[in-house]
Amino acid sequence: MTWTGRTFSGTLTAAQLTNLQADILAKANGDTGAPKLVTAAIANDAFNAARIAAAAVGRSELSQAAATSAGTLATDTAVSITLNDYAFFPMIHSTPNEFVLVRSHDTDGGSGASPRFSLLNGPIASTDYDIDHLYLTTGV
Amino acid sequence: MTWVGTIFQVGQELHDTALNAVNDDITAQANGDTGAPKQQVGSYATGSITAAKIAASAVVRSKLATALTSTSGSLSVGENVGIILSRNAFFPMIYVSAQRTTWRPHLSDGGSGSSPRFSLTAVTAEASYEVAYRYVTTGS
Repeated sequence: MTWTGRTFSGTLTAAQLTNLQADILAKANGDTGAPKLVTAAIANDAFNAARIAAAAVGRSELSQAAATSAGTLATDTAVSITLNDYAFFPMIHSTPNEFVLVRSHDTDGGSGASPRFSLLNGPIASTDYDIDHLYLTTGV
Repeated sequence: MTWVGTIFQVGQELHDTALNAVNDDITAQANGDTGAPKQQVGSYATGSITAAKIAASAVVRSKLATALTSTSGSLSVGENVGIILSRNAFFPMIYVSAQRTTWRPHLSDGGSGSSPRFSLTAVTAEASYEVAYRYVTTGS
């Protein structure tokens, strides 16, 4: 029902008081004209896993940032690539690519919080490489 | 306290208990007490659910909007295939039928981490390949 939001004056009537009661329901329902709940009115941590609907968090709800690593690989050289924690799968590019292999990193990152790999160029020609990735940030 | 939901009658004598019940219903609604109307989606101001309002670790797998996809095919000896993943792809399942198939950078620059990619090359033998992965979608 539509929010009434009366300002009372004079003799009270049953209808006025019933509307006042009904406005509590209208506010809970977000009915037309009812005041919306703003951030300050919501308790911290009010939204736990049970309150968040399944599949409610999509790309636009994630706090993400982009990072890049680029350079030139001389022949018979490798470059170590360390991604940010919470990295999504990267864009791995090189020109040319037929001599370059994606390989394991030569330094142990210790955990999945330090994702990494390396590129190894062969003996034929130098190559430009570019690694871009998105990762989850710590948020606001 | 339990929600009362008073409906006032014409001619009803107004006592303090009736008005106190209305007042208490405001608290009962905020507390989610038995019978009180639940806060509906439309009652929240847009953007009012900030990070502070979401409990730690509340965004579990099932809350993420994700989808599964895959790409597959076959490679002749020496052939390279570029694999372009969806944005926000998690680490993929990469399978090839011949172990001498190598993992390489993609020949085309995706321009950013929003277009993750790599390539596969069959070095010494024909191979069939399958790349399957999960990614975060735009949500509902």
